[in-house]
Amino acid sequence: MRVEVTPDTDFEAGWTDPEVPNMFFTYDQTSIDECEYDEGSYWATYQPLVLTEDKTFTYLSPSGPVTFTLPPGTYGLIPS
Amino acid sequence: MASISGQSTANIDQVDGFFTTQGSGAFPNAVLSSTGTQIAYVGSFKYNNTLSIDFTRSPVAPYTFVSMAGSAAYAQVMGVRDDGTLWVYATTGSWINQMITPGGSLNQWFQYGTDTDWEQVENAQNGWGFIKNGEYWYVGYGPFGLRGDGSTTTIGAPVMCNNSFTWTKLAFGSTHGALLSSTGEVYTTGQNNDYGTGLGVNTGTTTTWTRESSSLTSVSDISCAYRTLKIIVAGNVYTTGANNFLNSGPLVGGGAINGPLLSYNGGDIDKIFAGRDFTVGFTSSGAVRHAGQGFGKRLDNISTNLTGQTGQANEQFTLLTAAGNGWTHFAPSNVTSSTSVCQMAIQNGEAYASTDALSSMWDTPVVSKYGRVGTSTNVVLVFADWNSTSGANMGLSIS
Repeated sequence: MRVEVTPDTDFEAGWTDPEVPNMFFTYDQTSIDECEYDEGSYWATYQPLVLTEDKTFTYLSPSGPVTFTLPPGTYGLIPS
Repeated sequence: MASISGQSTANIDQVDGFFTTQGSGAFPNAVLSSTGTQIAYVGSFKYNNTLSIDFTRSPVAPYTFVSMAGSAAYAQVMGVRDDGTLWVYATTGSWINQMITPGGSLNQWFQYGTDTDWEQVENAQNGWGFIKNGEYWYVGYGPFGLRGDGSTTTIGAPVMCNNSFTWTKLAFGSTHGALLSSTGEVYTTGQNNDYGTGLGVNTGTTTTWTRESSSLTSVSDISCAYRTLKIIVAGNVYTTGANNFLNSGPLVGGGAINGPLLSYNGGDIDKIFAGRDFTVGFTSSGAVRHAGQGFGKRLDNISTNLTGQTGQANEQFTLLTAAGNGWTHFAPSNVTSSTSVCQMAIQNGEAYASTDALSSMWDTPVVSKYGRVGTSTNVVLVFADWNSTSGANMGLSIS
């Protein structure tokens, strides 16, 4: 995925997807200096989680193990 | 407590002109030969550089550690003594600044806090993890997800991040990690590149300790290196992640492995040590099996890569018969994203080191082959880390 960023973008901040509570997503780049400059704008890339079949995770929450299953789909898109 | 030049008499080795053991003060090139711990930093050398190295060596600590790790990038070392106390030697405060002030100071060993239930320390890129009374603790950079508690906030002093199980071993690669529970299960966290976390995904960052996707049981050992994880079950190796130089075993092919998958089924691996681009396994008698890159890595001092399938001359995890038995500990520089450049190992209480260019550090020619470090036969612990900018950070502990 290619998205426009600005010099004010916080590359460490990342974002989450409520459907995937055990994961965190970030840009492929770590600073504006690594981003492509094209047509007057800076562009960063990132890789969403793309599932073609069910995927089950068991993560450790403060209250103990939690198991959930993600159906096929695309997750980790930047919140609009 | 009595002191000289600001040092307690217990730390007399740290005062210029005073030394009670070799390896400090006027003898910067001597290797410790009696009880204690010695660490060494080598700055700014690259692959196959000249042997004229600008190095400094920290003073000897009069302590023996049961767990020890070092960060080459930040010239820091931490160790756990057999009394369960945690000790730090750091030349910078990067990522651990709240550990140093006000309890200690840079450029000398100091005890962090007063707790006596520390069990293991492990370093990652920009962070440190601990097993403490069976709990998992972390200090350092947060966005790699190594806290494993769902937070990506950076923290400057260790905090307890998970106590869901009694944890018995922690393994870090560069930006991912694995925990082994007393029940024989493995959980991972951190960056998912190349399937290194073993969660069936190769994008994003896992921020909460999550069980590896094969749900293995009866796991006896784990080890991580850059984007890879090795797991031992019944003497066999299961692998997930990067497989450069086919370092995982003869049962899997090239490329990143979406595992954990069974990669070696010889059933005789007792301890596993993942390096960058190679893997070392010790049998119960301390014999050595090796897979992957050979140059400067193989304990038999042969450079040939071991990247073949079962029955081939360069079979992966073939027994290195020339290396003999009695190997008890191996410390590859496994956190680097470049190839591992320095390793240390212990055979029958003797320390050995191999690097691309470190001979002046240890007074022994160890260029690209393992050379004896010092004369002690009571070495109990070694560690090694390397960074392409900062150089090497290595050490040994003698009982």
